[in-house]
Amino acid sequence: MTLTVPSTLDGVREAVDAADGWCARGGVPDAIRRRVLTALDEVVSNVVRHGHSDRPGTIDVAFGGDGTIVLVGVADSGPPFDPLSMPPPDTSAPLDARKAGGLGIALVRALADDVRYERRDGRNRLSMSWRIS
Amino acid sequence: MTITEERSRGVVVVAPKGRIDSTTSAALDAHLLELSKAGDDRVVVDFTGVDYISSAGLRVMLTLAKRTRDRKGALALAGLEDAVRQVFELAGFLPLFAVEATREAAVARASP
Repeated sequence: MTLTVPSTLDGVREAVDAADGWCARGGVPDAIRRRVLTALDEVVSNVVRHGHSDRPGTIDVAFGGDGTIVLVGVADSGPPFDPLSMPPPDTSAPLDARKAGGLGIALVRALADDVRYERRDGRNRLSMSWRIS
Repeated sequence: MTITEERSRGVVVVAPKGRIDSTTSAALDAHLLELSKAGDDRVVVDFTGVDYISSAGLRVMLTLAKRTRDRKGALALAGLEDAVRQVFELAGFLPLFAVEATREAAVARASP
């Protein structure tokens, strides 16, 4: 299943709603469904924040799988940006030194079984997968 | 996300239900800020009905932790299970909060 959403917070909601429905129809186990939705919220909201600063754009989201794996792809035509190149946040600092920035991508890395980025045909493409055991 | 609220032993218990993510966290943040403005700085957040929390929600919890500490209040969390607990753990957030298994224990922890 594929859909195109606006690069706005409403678009993020639309993408997460679609993922929720897709997981329910496909019988994706609840623990994996929650990880998929969390990671998708991080990735799509990241594109909204960093991808299209001066013009409204769109984000393409694709879901696939065969009962043993869940595949989610997110593509946008914003400036080249590899979120996986961001340094990991300090997750052991005391309260005052904590920043929430950078946590999102760290969560995506941890919650997905595999995450890859590529810049191809003028687009950022992030692919995530989850194995269903 | 919807938010329900109850009061018990001098503590306000806030129970969000549904997703706490980039599209809903602002509403939770605003709700918690209103409580603080009204002088309610002994807070329990009960995550029992939460489907998942993303980093946008963690940011709200971080803000709440700093505010309740600065205002000499108290904060305890309850109902962190499965997906929600995993995200707190991955982010290294568990040591920053008083976490109790049940709402009752969290209220006792935050109570004056």
